Amino acid sequence: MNAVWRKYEKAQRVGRSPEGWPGREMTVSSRGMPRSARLWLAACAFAAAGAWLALGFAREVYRTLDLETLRPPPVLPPVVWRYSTPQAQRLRAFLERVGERVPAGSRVAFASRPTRADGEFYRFLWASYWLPGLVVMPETAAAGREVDYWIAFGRTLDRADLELLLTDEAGSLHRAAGSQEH
Amino acid sequence: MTLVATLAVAFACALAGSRLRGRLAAAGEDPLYRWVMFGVAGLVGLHLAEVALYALGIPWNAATLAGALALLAMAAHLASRRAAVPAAGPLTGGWPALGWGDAVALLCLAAVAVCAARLWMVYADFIFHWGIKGEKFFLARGFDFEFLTQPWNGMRHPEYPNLFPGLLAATAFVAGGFDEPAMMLWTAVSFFALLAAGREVLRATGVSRPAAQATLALLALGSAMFGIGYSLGGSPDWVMALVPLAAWPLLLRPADGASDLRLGLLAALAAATKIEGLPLAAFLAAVYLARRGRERWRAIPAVVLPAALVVGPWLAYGLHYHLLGGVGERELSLRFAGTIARAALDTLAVPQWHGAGFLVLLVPALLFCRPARPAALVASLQLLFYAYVYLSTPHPSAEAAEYFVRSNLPRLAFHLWPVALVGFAVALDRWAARQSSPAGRASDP
Repeated sequence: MNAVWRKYEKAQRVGRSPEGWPGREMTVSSRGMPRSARLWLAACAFAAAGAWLALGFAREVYRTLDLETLRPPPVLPPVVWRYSTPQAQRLRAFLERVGERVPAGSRVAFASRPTRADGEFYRFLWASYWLPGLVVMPETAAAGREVDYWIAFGRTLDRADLELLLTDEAGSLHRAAGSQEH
Repeated sequence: MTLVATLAVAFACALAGSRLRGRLAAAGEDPLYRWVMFGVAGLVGLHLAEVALYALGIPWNAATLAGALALLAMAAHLASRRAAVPAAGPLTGGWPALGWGDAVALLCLAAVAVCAARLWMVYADFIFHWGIKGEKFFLARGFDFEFLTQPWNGMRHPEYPNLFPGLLAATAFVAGGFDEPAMMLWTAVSFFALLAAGREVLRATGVSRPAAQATLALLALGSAMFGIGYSLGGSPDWVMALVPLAAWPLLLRPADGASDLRLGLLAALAAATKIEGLPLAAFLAAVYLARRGRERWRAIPAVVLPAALVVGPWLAYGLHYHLLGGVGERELSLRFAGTIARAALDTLAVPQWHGAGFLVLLVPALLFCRPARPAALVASLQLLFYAYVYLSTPHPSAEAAEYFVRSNLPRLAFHLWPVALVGFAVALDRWAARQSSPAGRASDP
């Protein structure tokens, strides 16, 4: 590999800076394109890249502002929810109401309406983020495990072993029969 | 309180790290870069403090974390008090004043800070694992392995290192609660550090002033463009992008103890932040030690020890709680190579990159540019590692392989993009400035 570098650089005379730092190297060459042309080409390259990235930056800032503030937030599937997505905020508001009724450390199963692209799984991820003081598990993991409470979002739970504690237009909170207070 | 909490933790880390100034400072460097390196040292120290407190059964809170960090800082001060502190260079890098590139960088930093604090760019994985881990650690007053080992949390990457969630927890203790804007502001802090590292690279490689200002502007615009567009708020990917860029000047400097320890701390930061930071740390150490020649044996302790101190506990807890299953079980296969290659090209063409992501694929070309060669070697090795991971993961189908690439390559490319951009700018400036004298390049107004 050293031979490759030496061959590539054999047209250059390389020295060291007064500080003796190899990173600062002098290169002198009398061949090739005139220096003024090189400088112009380099300046054009920097300017073109700058203009492109500046436009890209402006576009992404505008797109973010548009999504977040300039128009009503779009309705999105759970897999691509943003923090401000209406359904995510609706879930958060529902969980704040529910969370007040559930003691810290309780084991909670979260169930939501099955949708495409693993919608219920991503809603579970958002729900567990907004209930950090609880042990939140998805409905699919609740089988065979001790569960103290059930939260249903966007669906109903008709189970004889559950006691309804709270219900509203978003969902419901149930206590499992025989659950122990934590 | 939001801004105060984040800045308080950042300042505390930098102040703690500055106690090592006798061992960390280098002559003539950019003062911002010097304080970024102090911050890196402090951040690694904070993580080690959290690990020590957890191992001793002492609950985390603002007082215990501050006390442990102060103890580490005191030990660092005692270890380096006799060493002379070299003078830093001027903030303007030898030029009469800050330039237009610095102004563009500040504008982009402000944009990122506002978008992050307003929760307009919350990263999805902040919700799915980084943020929830941080909050769980905050509530548990320590690493919450009960949460990490729950069977339904397998997709939350329980095997990942815990520096970033620990940092979020520490910030929550200072803020009095898990304040999301305060957590998001670490994105702005990381971006600031990235820009400071970029300034030092441009100074260290002797780039002409106009090119340096232009490159700094490009770095700021491109990073902010993708960071805001792809919603990387609250993501540790900014830290991963910082590490190879901040290590670049160290790979060029003459061998000295300060560079050894700095490289070691950067490697430790990478290894403690994300799982792909482990190979990055190894590549940094290997390239650095290879360049040290006969002096490498004396450098090994400073280069390797910091990473060993963070990887050791991570490995121990990971094995104890069975979190590392599958990390090492891989077999290279070309079965889906075509699908992966097409997905990679499609992914680098995502709208948020505006085509700039392809620059990462050209990094190996920088091996022919002497000032960029060591950084390009590290980045090329990391690219090869990514390719190895994609080709060795047991995908059940072509669609699964494609999804795997699309779900993470845009961010993995972000780790190497700053090095790629600055590298090509350095190469372009060298090409354009042939037939110039060093006196002319160093003193242009």
